[in-house]
Amino acid sequence: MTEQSVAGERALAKVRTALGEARGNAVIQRTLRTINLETLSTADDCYAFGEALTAERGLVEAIGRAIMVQALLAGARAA
Amino acid sequence: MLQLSYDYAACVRSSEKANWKIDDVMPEGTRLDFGKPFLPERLAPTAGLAMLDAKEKLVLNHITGNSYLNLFGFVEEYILTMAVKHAQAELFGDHDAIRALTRFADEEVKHQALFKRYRAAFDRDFGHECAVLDNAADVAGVILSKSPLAVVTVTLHLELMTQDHYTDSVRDDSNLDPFFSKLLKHHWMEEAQHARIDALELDKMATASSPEVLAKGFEDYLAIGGAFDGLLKAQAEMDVGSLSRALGRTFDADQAAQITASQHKGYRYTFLVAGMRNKTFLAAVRTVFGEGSAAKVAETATALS
Repeated sequence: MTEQSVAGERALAKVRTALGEARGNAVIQRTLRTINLETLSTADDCYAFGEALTAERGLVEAIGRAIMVQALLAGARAA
Repeated sequence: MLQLSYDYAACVRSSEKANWKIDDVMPEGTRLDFGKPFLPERLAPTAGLAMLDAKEKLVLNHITGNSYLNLFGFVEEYILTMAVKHAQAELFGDHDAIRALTRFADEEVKHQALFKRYRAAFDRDFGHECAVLDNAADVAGVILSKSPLAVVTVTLHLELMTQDHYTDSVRDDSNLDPFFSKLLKHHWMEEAQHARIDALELDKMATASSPEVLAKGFEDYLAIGGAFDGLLKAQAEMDVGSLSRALGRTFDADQAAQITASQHKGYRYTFLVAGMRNKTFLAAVRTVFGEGSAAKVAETATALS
């Protein structure tokens, strides 16, 4: 299992801050499964995670977009 | 990690304290006075131009002042985009950071509006057409296509350099036009806060960046500097034409080359070397990118001098 990166921790913290611990963790686990990752170890992982969140509507989509921008600032090449 | 003695909340408090309105600095209809230089010799060197008399050197100084503010308007185009992007990245995160970054963006737009008002007054009162670079959006596009880490590093360079311009060369020079000095003072007051926000952002990004991203960031910082130098040369060449029109005289090829070289050297010092030699900037480069990178910046500054 790869280590959670600083960028990954920041991305996951956004989800928990916005949705609360319980719902946030559920969304995190579901989204990680969707992209076949256990942790967010690179900026590209964070970008993929954010992009997967944007598939949902409303608040989760907005969180995903913020995470995508954050990942790009950390050097993600997925743009 | 950078050793910073402030946080985003402190930046917001300072920004609220320093905040000013465009109409307080430059009311609509302000007439410009061309009796005194706008910029000090250090930022607008004319001493070596023997083909110009004192009055002609003063005219060149005013042309340089106009170009100087236009160049700031240029860079503020991309800085605005950067600040908004960084604020978006902080959504659902640090609210103090969001406030600091959105105030930063608002202040950059305000500076652009102030400089636009100034430049309109210059065009109206100077009496002769002055050519300035006008492709700000294209330049912003080029800069923003580089690594985000490089974009923040260039911005820190520019904001710290702006402070040096005012505190080292303008603030205590009573020979300068008081109105132009007032413009630079108000610009400096807010840019001082922006430099702190840049340092916080650079630190935050660096801690989340891989060694490859850091290396690319530094490489792109130097590349942006090189591209910007090309713009400065283009502006220097335009200044010769503006001076010729304003004075109603022509320069032979050698004289034109001397004026272009002098203008280019002045802009290089003002926009590139002053930033690269700023101690706070060099310390940040050393911490984030390493000792070798700081040495490379110092080397580049020497090569450009």
